[in-house]
Amino acid sequence: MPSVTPYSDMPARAFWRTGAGPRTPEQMEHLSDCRARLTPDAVVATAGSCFAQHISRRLRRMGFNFLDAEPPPPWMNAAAQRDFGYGIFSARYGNIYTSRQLKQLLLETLGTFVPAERVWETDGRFYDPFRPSVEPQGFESAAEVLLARDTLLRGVRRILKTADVFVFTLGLTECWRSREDGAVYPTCPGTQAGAFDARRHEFVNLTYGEILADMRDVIRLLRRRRPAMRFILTVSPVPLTATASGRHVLTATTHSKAILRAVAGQLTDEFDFVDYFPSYELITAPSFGGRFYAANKREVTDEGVSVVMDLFQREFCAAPAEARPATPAPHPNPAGEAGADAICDEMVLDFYARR
Amino acid sequence: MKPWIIFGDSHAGVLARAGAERGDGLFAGGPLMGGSNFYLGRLAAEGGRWVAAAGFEDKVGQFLAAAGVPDFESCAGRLLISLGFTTGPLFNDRRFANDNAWRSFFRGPVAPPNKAYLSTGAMHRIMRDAQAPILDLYRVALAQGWLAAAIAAPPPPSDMAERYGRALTYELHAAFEAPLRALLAAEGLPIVEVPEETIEPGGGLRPEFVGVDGFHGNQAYAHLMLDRTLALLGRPPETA
Repeated sequence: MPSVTPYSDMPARAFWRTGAGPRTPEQMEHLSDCRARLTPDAVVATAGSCFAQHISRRLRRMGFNFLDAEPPPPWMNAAAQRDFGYGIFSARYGNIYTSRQLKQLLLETLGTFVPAERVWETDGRFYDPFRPSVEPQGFESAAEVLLARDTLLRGVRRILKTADVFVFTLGLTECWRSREDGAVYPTCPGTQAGAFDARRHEFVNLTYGEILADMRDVIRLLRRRRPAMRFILTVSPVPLTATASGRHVLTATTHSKAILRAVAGQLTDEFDFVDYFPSYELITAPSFGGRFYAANKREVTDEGVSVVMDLFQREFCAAPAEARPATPAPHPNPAGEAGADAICDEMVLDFYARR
Repeated sequence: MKPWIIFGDSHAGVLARAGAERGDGLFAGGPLMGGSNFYLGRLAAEGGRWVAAAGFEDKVGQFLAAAGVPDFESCAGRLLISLGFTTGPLFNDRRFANDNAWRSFFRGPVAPPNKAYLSTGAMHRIMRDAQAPILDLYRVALAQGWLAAAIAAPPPPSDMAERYGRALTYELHAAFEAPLRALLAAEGLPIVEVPEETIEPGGGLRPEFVGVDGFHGNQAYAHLMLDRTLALLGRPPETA
């Protein structure tokens, strides 16, 4: 007769065969340990690597209170909004791949850090080193880069003032850093814009300890202004495009993801207001045999995104709010403010009314 | 006699009303919808035709009835089009104009505190995207031989220009029109230009030609434009 052990009464999810063996994504139940579900009234801000944008989109579509602190200008259509980085995250900060980048952005917003290198010039166009992709053709002048950055920082300040929940996707441990002031860039100088200079730029592979410290600082900075703020951390399942670590890109990827996953786990254990959303596990699970990766075995397919976001909806969200459009209407007129287009419509109506 | 058929945005309404007042049967037609609807592609070029978006078909019917024709094809060689020359719906949008909203390069190179900054590149992209469906409409109409001339719209009124900065307003207006003017020049389609006598030195429409809504031209302006049209084109072709 088998003896009773600590495993005897454990739920199905505790065992590989019944919890994670051959299953469909829908059969993966209780994958997360969410402690506080998102409610429709909670103001949610998002940031992180490119995978995080799917969370923004789904939250918007489900009618949750997604904070768009830097909304697109009037008349900018959906395609242009995407190209110019509007509406992808809660402000137009572009991809934030590393913990250091996020901490640096918060410090800059709070006025305690001003990067030495603030503008890159490439072929007569000007770029923000810390979000080089948000202006597809680059800015027209260095002054524009700084003016647009002021607008970004104002958006981040709004996040600091109003967000109830901060969703952050940890993407990378590897980054490039200024030797002058330690500022980290989202991409290596010279890849999207700017010019690489080994005397000024250095490679750094953030350690577990560094990332944990960064994230503790991030949490402290945010909760100092929003004491009740909650956090949802995720790890991007997208492998590295390239590594500068000297390792094989596959081992560099597992090294990086293992650290990020461990940090997320540590923070979840440490703080009861931090939850971990297992998007990484869902995409990479052996149960699914890599089927959620595109042909290049790096990008996540639409099906994979959908599976992840369905789980997010099931396990992290309270009853959905009334659906809202995924992107803002192209030119809604604010109430009580008749613009020229309203005047023109009036003219057309009047023409036919008086015939 | 088949009349010239005025078609287009709200400015076409002013012109068509003046045409009806003449009582000589030389002009018919009317506006289809406000210019912003054209920027949003609510009349689109598809498969060599003009196709109204769902919910806007009745506007096409309304226009055709005013023009006295069963379809656009029946306008061949007689269509006077007022479209794509007005920037008002974009730049006079209150969300741009509102002091609590955007501060972009067209309001000056220095953004004051608490204003969002709109880059030059983003502004040009907005203009390009707004102009694109209109250029497509022109291409279809040109290919089908529907157009007799394009009719320019009055420049932004002075008070609007003052609000944004006069030089930048008219610079943007010119930038917005430029691709359309280039297309029409390449295709050899005449443009009925706004008479110089209606424009004040600063670039806006003279107050005596501004309509009651402060944005469109008034009837005096419209009659001048129609006179100018007849001077350019003469009477409508009998056999068109």
